[in-house]
Amino acid sequence: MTGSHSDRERRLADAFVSLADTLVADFDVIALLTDLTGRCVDLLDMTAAGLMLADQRGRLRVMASSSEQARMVELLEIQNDEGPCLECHRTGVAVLVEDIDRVREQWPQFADRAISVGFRSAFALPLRLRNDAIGALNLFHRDPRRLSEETLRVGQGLADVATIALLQQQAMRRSAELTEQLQLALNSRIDIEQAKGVLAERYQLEMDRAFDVLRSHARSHSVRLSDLARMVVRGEVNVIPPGSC
Amino acid sequence: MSTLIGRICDACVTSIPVTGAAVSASLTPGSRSTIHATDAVAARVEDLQLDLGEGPGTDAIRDRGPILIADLSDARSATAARWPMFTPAALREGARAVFAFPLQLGAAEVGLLGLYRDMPGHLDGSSHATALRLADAAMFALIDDGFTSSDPIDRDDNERATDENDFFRTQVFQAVGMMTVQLGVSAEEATVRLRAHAYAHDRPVADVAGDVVSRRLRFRPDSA
Repeated sequence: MTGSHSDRERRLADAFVSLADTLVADFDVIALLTDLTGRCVDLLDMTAAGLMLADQRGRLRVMASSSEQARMVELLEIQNDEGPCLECHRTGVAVLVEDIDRVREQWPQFADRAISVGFRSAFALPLRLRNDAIGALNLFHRDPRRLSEETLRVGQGLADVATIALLQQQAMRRSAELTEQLQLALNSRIDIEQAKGVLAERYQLEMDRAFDVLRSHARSHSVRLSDLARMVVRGEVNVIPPGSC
Repeated sequence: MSTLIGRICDACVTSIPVTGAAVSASLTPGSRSTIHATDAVAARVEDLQLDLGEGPGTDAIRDRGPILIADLSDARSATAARWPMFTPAALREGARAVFAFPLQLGAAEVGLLGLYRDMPGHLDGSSHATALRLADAAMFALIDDGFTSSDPIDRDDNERATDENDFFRTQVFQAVGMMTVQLGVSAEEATVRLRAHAYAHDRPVADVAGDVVSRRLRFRPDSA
């Protein structure tokens, strides 16, 4: 969805201003990262976006995505074996695939899956921290596409917002180790996936619908997504999807 | 005869610059029991926390992240204010640095790996990474035991490592959530059951999880 130039500038400014949210005491990093993937789709005119973070074993884990559909999650996770995201994480530089058809030989599994999901181009931008990439922002488009310098610059800026948000979690706490800061985010995501499972089973929902239900409940009750998720899994709280009996 | 948990604790002492290690298992969220300790001081550091209800391990579990104290007697780390009873008692026992790693998989609270050293000092980056890997190994060892201290199914280290890597996948966590509802059990118990099923059927846990999530496989309270 594109608007006038000044409208886009305003939405872009909003994305950076959202970083101020990370300074409040009950800052919800998963919610912020999820919103950010939505902003990427909007501001960069993409079809989908997903954020991956490397854990202490070096495994790339899905932290947030513009779509919680299983096919999207699988496409992101397959990149632990091959694909632009893996290369981006290893090298620390952007990996731009303007036409996925052309990388079928190099990354057969990734290409197959991406094309079957409906994507024809893919761009992995590093979550830069000093000389490394702690993960990557993955952008997908339904058509083959070349990115302008401007789009790349804005995209990298949004990836940097994600990195800063992840490092802000423990800004108030004593421990300074990068690994610990990221552990918190990774563990929070596990809470959310477990809660999605609980709701999916209890109310026979698809996983992406289960996520939406959790997210709206968290928002309307001003609770962190992962805190709500943990309470749901432990049976301390029940979240009822609107329209269920 | 050594248990897997015992060997993991020994590995902590030989591969990380610490003096001793102890692993405890959570009985219910917030309450735990020591499974193994390499020496009397490591055991004491755990016991003190269980008796006093305060300490780095207790905070690590509650705050869901490692607590690393390079020097219990350093005023700057404010440990005396944080743990007014634990701090002097632990120092008297001979523990100078303490490092607590909670063993958790999302909502599933499995236990704690507690390390101590009789001299002050931080854990450097590589020791920290090693500690996290050993903490994971301890976590899965506890899960496989169903949280008891007996030795789990005999598997070789490579198999174990591959399995553990595979566990950190979206579908696995989702399957655990679904199983808590299907079986009417806690996240800890569902995790144990998922791994046990995978072993019993000699299938990768990610594949079993995939079947659960796509509803090809359903667990019932009476099924094995």
